[in-house]
Amino acid sequence: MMNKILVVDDDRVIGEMLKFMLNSNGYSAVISNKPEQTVHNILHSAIDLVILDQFMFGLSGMEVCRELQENEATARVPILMMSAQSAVKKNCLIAGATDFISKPFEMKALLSKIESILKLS
Amino acid sequence: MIYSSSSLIAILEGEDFILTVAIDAILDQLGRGQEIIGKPHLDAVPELEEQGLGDLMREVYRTGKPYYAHEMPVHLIRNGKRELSYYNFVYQPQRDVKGNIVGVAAIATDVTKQAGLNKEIRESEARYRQISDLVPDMITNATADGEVFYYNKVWTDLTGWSMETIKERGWGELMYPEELPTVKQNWMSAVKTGSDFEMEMRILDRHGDYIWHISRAIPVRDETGKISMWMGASTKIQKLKNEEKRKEDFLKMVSHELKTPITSIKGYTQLLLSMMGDDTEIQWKSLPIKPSLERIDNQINRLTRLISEMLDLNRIEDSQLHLQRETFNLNELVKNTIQDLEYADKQSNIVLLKEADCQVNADKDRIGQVLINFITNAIKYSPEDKNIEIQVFPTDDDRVSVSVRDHGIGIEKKDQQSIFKRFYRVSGKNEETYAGFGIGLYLAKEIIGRHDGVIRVKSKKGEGSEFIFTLPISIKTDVKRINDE
Repeated sequence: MMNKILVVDDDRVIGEMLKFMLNSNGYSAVISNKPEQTVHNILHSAIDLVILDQFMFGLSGMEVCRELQENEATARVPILMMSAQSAVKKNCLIAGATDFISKPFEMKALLSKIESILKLS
Repeated sequence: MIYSSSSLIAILEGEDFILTVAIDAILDQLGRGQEIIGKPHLDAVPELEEQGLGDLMREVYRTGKPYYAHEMPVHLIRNGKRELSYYNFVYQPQRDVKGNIVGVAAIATDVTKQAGLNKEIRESEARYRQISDLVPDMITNATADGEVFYYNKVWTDLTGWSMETIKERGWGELMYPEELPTVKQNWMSAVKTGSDFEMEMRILDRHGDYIWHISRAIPVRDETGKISMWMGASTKIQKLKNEEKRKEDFLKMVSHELKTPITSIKGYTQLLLSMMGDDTEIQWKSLPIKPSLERIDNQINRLTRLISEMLDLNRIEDSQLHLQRETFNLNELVKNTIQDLEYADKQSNIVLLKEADCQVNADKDRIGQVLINFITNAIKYSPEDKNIEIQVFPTDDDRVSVSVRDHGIGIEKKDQQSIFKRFYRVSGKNEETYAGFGIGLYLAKEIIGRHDGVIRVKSKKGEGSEFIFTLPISIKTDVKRINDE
């Protein structure tokens, strides 16, 4: 079965780009630019992996990450966090992210990270 | 016995204080002769009455309580000249067998010399206190063991605590709780080793806010070199910190705002590239599509590196470039970096000539950044010959080096040290065609320097360059050459 990936980024263009990228590589992507709806979206769409932007207006990626960790229903869903600042990697992992990728990224690097996360879970 | 004592002793009888017994030395001190014996003392030496000593004697006579004086200045007329001396003395009531007070004994020691010195010290001390209260810094003095015994007035002004409270509760309670263990540890270590103490720390102010200070303390040594005390000063740097924060926030925002569109551009470029597959022949109005997309992708990478370099430069200037150390295999990092770059740049031929399997404890991303800088420079400055040779080799038992050699335009001797300076660009007709900020090598040098490593260049104009960095090995036993000839 196709793995379902939720992309949470407040930048619509990145969201659309990622959707295209994921869909053309054998995944089914759902995009959202509303970080506060992440828990709802995961539960509603049976998500296998979340790609989460760290720097968002409103709720930050870090906060979303913690929220997902604290909720029993979403705690097991792996999170791949992305940020334009590579220095936040450590904090993202502490907040509960499964892995981290810097923006901008190589498509190959993103796909290989997704593949290895899904293999582990 | 009385007469041989070094003390000055006089017995004054009755309420008129008739001098009945006086050793010679006291007469010398008073500047008088034997003639004053048997006379009312305050009449014979009227300057005592003038200076209030008569009142003290009468008080002792009336109450029976002895009076002690410490380093009291007393003016006496000796040989017609008024002279100042200092005395430690006691006026002791004299009683008869029934316990009635019948007179006063004066027992005194001349401490003029000592008092003079003490006075100088006191004056110097008072001057010191005044200066220390005048400066806007928080000043402390501590014993050789590191125990603070003096805080200047700025401490009370800033904290709102009284001097007594500060002394009683100690400075520890005024520190930012999370920083306190480090502050204590650094302070103890400075006290133990006798080295200067310097640290940025937050101190609680009277409004309950923690204010950034830079604190310094230096040991004061006596003539034998032994530490006699510590002098410390803390300067408020809150405004500077606010500015740094504002700048850092701004740069984070800039970084985010610039990299967001770049992420999309790069994403779409790579999507298009992946759709082209291996077909390099597809053209649109004679423009070959795939090579064009690869160029776009390369330029995006270059733009991304420039943005990162600008941010790093700012971090280095603010001493905010923190290393995230981990132990990793340097050889693996070199291999992976070459792979990534080869993928992005198909025109160059990057060869790993020599490998050495060894672990270093370093910031992997930062060392990777230095490598990328070396290799992209090698590509950039080699317009003709795109062969780049890389070697990983042990320098000695404790260190490992990575060298990146190109066959490009090379660097003149006179420029070879300057290229590591910030914003330095080699000038020349040829070089001007190579764009850049002049930050990359400066950052590389800073990064390697922070790892206790060395960076250097070997080059000849027209014959290419070799850039080498050397790092300490973390686990020595792991050094083994893989394919050394």
